[in-house]
Amino acid sequence: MAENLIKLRDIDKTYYGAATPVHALRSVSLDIDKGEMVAIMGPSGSGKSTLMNMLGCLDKPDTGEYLFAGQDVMNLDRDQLAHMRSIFIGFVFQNFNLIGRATAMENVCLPLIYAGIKSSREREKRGRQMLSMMGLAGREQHLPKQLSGGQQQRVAIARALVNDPGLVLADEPTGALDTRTSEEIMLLLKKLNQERGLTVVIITHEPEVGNHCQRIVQLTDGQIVMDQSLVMDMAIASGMH
Amino acid sequence: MDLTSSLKMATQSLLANKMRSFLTMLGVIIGVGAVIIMVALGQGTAAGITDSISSMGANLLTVSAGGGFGPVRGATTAQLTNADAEAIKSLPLVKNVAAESSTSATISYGSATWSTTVDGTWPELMSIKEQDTVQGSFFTAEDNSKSNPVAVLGGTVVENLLPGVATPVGETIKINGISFTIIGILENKGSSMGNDQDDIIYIPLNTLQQRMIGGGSVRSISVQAASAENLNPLKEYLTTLLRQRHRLAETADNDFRIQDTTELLATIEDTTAMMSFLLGGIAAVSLLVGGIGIMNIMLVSVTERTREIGIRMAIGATGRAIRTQFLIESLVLCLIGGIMGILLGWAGGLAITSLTDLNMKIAPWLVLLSLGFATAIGLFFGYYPANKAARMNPIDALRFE
Repeated sequence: MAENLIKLRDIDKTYYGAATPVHALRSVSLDIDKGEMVAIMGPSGSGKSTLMNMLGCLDKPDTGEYLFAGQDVMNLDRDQLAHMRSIFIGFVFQNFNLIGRATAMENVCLPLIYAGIKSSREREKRGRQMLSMMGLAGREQHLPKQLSGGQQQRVAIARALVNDPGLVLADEPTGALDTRTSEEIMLLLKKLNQERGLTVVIITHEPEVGNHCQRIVQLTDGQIVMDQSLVMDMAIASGMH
Repeated sequence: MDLTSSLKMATQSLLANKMRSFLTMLGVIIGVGAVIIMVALGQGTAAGITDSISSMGANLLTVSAGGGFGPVRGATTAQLTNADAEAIKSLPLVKNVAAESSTSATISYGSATWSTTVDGTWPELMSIKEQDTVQGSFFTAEDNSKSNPVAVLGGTVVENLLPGVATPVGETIKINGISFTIIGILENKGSSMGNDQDDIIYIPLNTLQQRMIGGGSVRSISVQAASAENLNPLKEYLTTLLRQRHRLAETADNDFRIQDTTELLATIEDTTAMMSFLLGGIAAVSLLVGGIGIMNIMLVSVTERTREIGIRMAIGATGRAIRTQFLIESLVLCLIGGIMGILLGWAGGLAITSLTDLNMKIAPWLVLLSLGFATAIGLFFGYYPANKAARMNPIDALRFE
C-alpha cells in the first residue's frame, strides 16, 4: 500500500472579490499517494486552478482539512507556507515563469537560495546536475530568451526539482508549446515519475496530457465529478514497484 | 537568504535597467554632492578666515583710526599718531606694541621692477606676528629712530625682484626711487583668503613717514596683551587713554576703534558654522527629494515585477526574503549614488576652489555623514515599496500580467 502524500477532506474555498461570492471549491476530498501521476482536468472556471493553489500551499482552504505528508497545512502562517513550498513542492507553469534577466543556472539555483543553502559551490553543483539531467548541459549561462520554449520549460522543471521536492505541481505545462514539444515534456515528466518515484500533479484541460497520467480527476463547478484510474498505465506503474 | 546572493540579485536587477537606475540615483548623487560642496566650502572658508586672523597674532587688539564699524565718518585724517602709540607702550598689561602705516610702491632692482605694499612699522611687529627672518635680520628700534633706509623683504618680492640672487641681503633696491639696503628676508607665511602675505616689504615706520609719505600719522596700532584674560581690561585702558589724549568730550563717540581678534574669530567661526549648516540643510532637502525619487521608482519597479515576486514566492521565498531583496536594491542605489555624489562634490569643490579664492575642506566625518545619510534615505524610502512587495499574495502576483 502506497504512502499517502496529500489528504484533502471537505475543502471549501470561496472568493468574495466579485459582486457575488464565487464558490471555487465545494466540499472537495482527494487523496494522492506518493509516486502517483495525477491529471486534474476540467473546463475553465471549474476550480482546478484554485485546487492547484491549495495543493501548492499558495493559499489555504476556508474550511476542511489538509494534510501534506502528515503535516497539517490549515494552521500554517505565510512564512510556514513559504517554507512548505520551498522544501516539498516544485512548480511548473504554463508560460515557464523563468526570471528573464537571470541565466538558466541562476533560475535553477534560486530555490536553493531561498531554502537557505549558503554555499554557492554546492548550489551550482546541484544546478548543473539538474540541467544536465534535463539535457541542457552547456546551456547553463543562457538567458531564457536565448532558449526555445521546450528548453525553457525544461529549465523550469529543473528548477522545480532542484530542491528534491516530494511533489511537482504542473499548471498547464504544455499550454504554450507545440504538439511535438508538448509530447517531449510529458514524456520527461512521466520518466521522472516512473524512474524517480516523483509525485506529479498536472492541471490541464488537454485530454492528450491527461492520457499520460495514471489517474484523472475531473472537476466541474468546484466539485470532483470523476476520479478515474487508467488501468493500462496502472499496470506499468505496478510493474515498476 | 545570504548577503552575497542578495547583493548579486540586486545588482542584476539594477543593471537590467541601467538608465533608469542611473536617473534614480541622480537625485541622491546631486543631493550628496551638494551637501559635500556646501559644507566643505563653508568649513574651508571658516578655516581660512581663522588662519588669517590667527596669523595676525595671538591676544591681539588692533586700534585703528575712525569710530565705530562701517565707513569712517567725517574728516578722520591723522587721528592716531606716533605719540599715541608711544603712550600705549606704557599702559599696564601690554606685552608688545607696533604702529603701522603702509603705502603702495614700485620697487626696482637693476632693470627689474615689482609693485607691492610697503609697510612701515616697529620691530615689535615680528614678535606679535611670531614671524622670523630666513636671511639677515629684522630692523631694530635704532633703525627706526634714525629713519635708516633699510628694508626687509617677503618671499614673493624676492622671487620676483631678485630671481637667482643667492644672498639678497646687502643688495640695494629702490622704493619709489629712494635707495634702500636689504637687511633681511622673511620666512614665508603663505597666502590666506587669496591674500599673499609674503608679497610685502617692511621698512621702519619713521623712514616711511619721513622719506615717503610725510607726517606723523599711523594707520593702525597692534597691541598685544600678555594673556587672553587681559584683553578686556586692556581694551578699557586703551579707550580711556586714547579718549584723554584726543581730548574727546564726555558725550562724543570714539574717533578710533579697537578690534579684538579673539572676539572676531569667535564671531566669524559662529557665523561660518551657521552658514555651512544652513547651506548643508538646504542641500539635505535636495537629498530628501532624491529619496522620494527612489521611493517612486522602487514602487514602479515593485509593480512591474509583481509576476517575478509571485514566482519567487512560489518557489519558496518568504516575505522577508522579498523585502530584503528590494531593500538591498534601494540601499545599493543610495550607496552608489552617495559615493558618486561624494566624488562629484569633491570634483565640484576642486573646480570652485581653483576658479575662485575660496577654500575647501572635506573632513572625514563629512564623508561618513553623507554616506550615513544616503544609507538612511535608502532604508527609509526603500522600506515602504519593499514591504509592499513582501506582502503580496503569491496567487495574485503570479496571475499579474
